[in-house]
Amino acid sequence: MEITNENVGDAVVARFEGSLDTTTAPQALSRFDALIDDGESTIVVDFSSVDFVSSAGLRVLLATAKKIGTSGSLRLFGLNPSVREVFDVSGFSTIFAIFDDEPSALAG
Amino acid sequence: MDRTRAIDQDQRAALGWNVVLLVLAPVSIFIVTFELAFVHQPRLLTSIVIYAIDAVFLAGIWIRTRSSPDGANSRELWGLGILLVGNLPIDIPFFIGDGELWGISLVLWVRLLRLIRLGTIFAVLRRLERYSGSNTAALRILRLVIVVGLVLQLLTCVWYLIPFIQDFPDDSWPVVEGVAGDGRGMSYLLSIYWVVTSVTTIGFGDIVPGTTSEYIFALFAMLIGASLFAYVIATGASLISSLNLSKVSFWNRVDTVESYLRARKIDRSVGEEVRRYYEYLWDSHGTLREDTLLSDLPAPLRLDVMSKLLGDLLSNVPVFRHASPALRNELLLSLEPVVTQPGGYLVTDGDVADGIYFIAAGHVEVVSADGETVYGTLSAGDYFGDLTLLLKERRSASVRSVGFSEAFQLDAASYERIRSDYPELREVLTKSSSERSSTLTDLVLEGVVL
Repeated sequence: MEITNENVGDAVVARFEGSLDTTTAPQALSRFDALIDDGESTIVVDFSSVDFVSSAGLRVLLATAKKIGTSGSLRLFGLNPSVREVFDVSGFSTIFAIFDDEPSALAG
Repeated sequence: MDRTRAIDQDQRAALGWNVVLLVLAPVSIFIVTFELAFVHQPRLLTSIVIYAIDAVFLAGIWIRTRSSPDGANSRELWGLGILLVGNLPIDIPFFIGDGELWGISLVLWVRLLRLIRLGTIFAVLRRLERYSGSNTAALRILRLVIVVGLVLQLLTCVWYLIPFIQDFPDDSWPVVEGVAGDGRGMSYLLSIYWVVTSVTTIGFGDIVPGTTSEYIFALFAMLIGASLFAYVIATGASLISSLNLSKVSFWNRVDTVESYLRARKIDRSVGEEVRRYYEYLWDSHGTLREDTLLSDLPAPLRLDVMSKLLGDLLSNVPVFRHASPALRNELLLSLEPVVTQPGGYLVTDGDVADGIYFIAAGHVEVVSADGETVYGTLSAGDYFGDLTLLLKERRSASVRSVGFSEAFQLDAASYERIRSDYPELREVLTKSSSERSSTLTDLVLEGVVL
């Protein structure tokens, strides 16, 4: 899985590419941890190029959201329909801030 | 063609009307036969009562003919003709001339045409059965009482008429008993007393036939009596066995399962668990499975009944509450009720996702594969199975019922089908997800996926 970071204003945009599953989850988790350790409080995740999220991926996102807590926020955008369905049906869309595109995600 | 159509439009009125007919028909038959056998001449008071009852019956016939569409077929006309003969006061002209037959006024003989009302009684009973399906036991008792009463009355009248027509021979029973031609009360009482003792096979022998005709009739009465007695016993027995028919068949089924388990030497504790499961089903549902019980019904009616039956349970399921009526109907047909006994497993660790479970009553706990560690508890309003279904993963924990629990399962195929037919399902699930406890999302952090 490819992960690239880009600072936009106060936020950092992490662009994911590939599948967020059991094999790639540890990599994503360490990247998130590094960003939090660097003092980033607003993390925006670009899902436009993510084709699949497994339960391990959800776990990483939940853990990260928990670490950020109320001091910042974890925002997601560009979820494909099947990934979006998982979030909607399971109630994760009420836990994460989910946006349609990058500008609205950055605007919060 | 149903002649009662117009009356049917107002069932309550129809019911009342049928009850009136059911009271008046036997009363008129009683008066007509009693007067013929014991009074022999028409009396003013009873004549007024008879014609008043005629008027009621004729009004009924008039209403029914008016309500039936034009062009009644010949069979209906024939039936109508018979009804009119049985209810029109065609005995009135016979008052002229005081004609008699065997010492009895012709008026009373002609009045015997009212016996045609026997047919009306049975027709009314059939109609009442249609109105009150669940009260047929009461109706069968009513039918029994009417039939027995009428048979006894007819036998009583004939038993006295025979010696009367023969002008009371010296050895006839009324002469022997000293009631020949005297007080109506005593002759009627002794006559019905003889009939009842004979019909019930008691036969004290204090009143006995004396003439040949009386002997012949006594034989006939005894044969009729035996059949009547058999009818009473059979009706009684079938009534008792049909009371709580559903309860009997339910517990017969339970007994069958239990004796099968015993025969196969299955552990006693399993048998007890099975029994407890059935007891719960009976207490909470009153049947094994509502859906199979109602499978004969056409879909719209079944939906209607199911939604009323399962209404309380389904009101605990948010996805059902938020659904539109059309989606709700679709869910009603697709949701499979799952009743789980205490300690029973709804799903187990390692299962392939088979659907979403909506908990409607009771509590279930999310446990580890060995059942030792309890991760959390879910209750009415919660649902699980969605994550593994959508992510196509295996379950990483088991779900065990604490007490008895009731859930509805939406299987994977139904979920796919409904999702494509009703796009609102997703929105409804999203709305429902906000109402469920955070237990499951919290558990994802611990690697528990259901």
